[in-house]
Amino acid sequence: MLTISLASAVPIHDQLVAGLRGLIAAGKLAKDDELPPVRQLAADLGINLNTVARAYRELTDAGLLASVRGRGTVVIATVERPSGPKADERKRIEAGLAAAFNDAKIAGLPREVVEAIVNRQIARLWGEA
Amino acid sequence: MQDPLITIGRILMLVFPPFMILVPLVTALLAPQRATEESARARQRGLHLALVAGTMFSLAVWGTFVLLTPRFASAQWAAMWSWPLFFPLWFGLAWPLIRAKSPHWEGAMYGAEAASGAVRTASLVNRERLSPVTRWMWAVALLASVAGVAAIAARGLMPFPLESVGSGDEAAATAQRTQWWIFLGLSLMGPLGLLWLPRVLRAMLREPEPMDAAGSRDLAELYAAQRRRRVLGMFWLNGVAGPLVLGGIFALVTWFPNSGAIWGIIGGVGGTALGITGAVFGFMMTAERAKIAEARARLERSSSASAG
Repeated sequence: MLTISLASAVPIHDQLVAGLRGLIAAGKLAKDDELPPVRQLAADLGINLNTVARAYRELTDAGLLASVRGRGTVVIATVERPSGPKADERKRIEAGLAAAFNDAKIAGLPREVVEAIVNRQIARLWGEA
Repeated sequence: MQDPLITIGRILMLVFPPFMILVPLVTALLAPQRATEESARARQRGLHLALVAGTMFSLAVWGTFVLLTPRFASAQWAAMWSWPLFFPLWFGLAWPLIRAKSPHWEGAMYGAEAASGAVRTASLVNRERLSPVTRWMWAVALLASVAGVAAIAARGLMPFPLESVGSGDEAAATAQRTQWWIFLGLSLMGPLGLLWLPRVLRAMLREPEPMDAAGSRDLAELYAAQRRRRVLGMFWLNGVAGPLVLGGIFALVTWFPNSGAIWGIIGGVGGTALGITGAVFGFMMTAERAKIAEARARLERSSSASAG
């Protein structure tokens, strides 16, 4: 299942990309799994066709999805194709995490709550230590 | 043999218009009352009165033509063709009344249910892969659509006219040969329709199935069962029954031209029955979608109540 919120400040396209990446990262979408046609997903979510098509295209460019003749859009990898040197990827992810931690601090979350969130996310994707 | 059938045909033609005129009122009366707001009920009362008055008026129009039939031959034709009064009664009054009685019909009709709510959840299953139409069913449809064309085409191998009528042979041959060409062309609609049907069924499989925020399994099952019925019904009606009725009647007229009146009556009754079945099927499918939309709204309410 993929859920989006129209009330969120995050654009729908970004929510779709993040949702699909999350499902792939958590193993709920495995290699060779077919995604629904753009029309179907757009109709079910009541959003524009182009928004879904753009999200699929972004994940295709990242090397996670591919359009396969006779099958539609398929998950072809669960690890993203690096778009630049390895060190740049790491910097990008670190910057993203730093921004999330800044948000947590400004929102007034205590250290132990942030630690619990981080541990839960690590356990979700990499399993318990 | 011919007379009783023609009598039955005439009786059917006589009762068909009042039947069609009464369908909107009866259907609207049978539609369940689900509106709770007083304003909706007030609107219903107005539509209800208008529908009763419109039905009475239409029946009076048909009855007048029937009564005038002994004096004017054209009145019989006018009585028979009063059945299209069904359309203004249905689309103008009955349908708005049904929608007023059950607000979920609106969404079920126009797919608007997908656009409601801030939180939207969708299944990631490719429904185009879930067609309930199997290969043997396609084989049956192919057989049904090709059988009529083959039977009509085979008639072309025989002489025209099929039976000698004496001095009028030349005219009968021309008439039968023209009819044969026309029916051969028309019967090709069966196989041509079959080429189009997979696209139609694929579009039906893609119809919106918005989930509740929690992605309830019960709701998914309701959708799956309804999708199956919808696609299978469309397939059997358009892929098998339609070509069989069309091709069958054309083939019978082509091979037995002297009994054309009987085939005309049987074809008319068969075609009408098929049309009514299609309309009833479409209506039932919309009703089922409305029920699912209602179930989804209930699930949304209960999940937001438990979250609150």
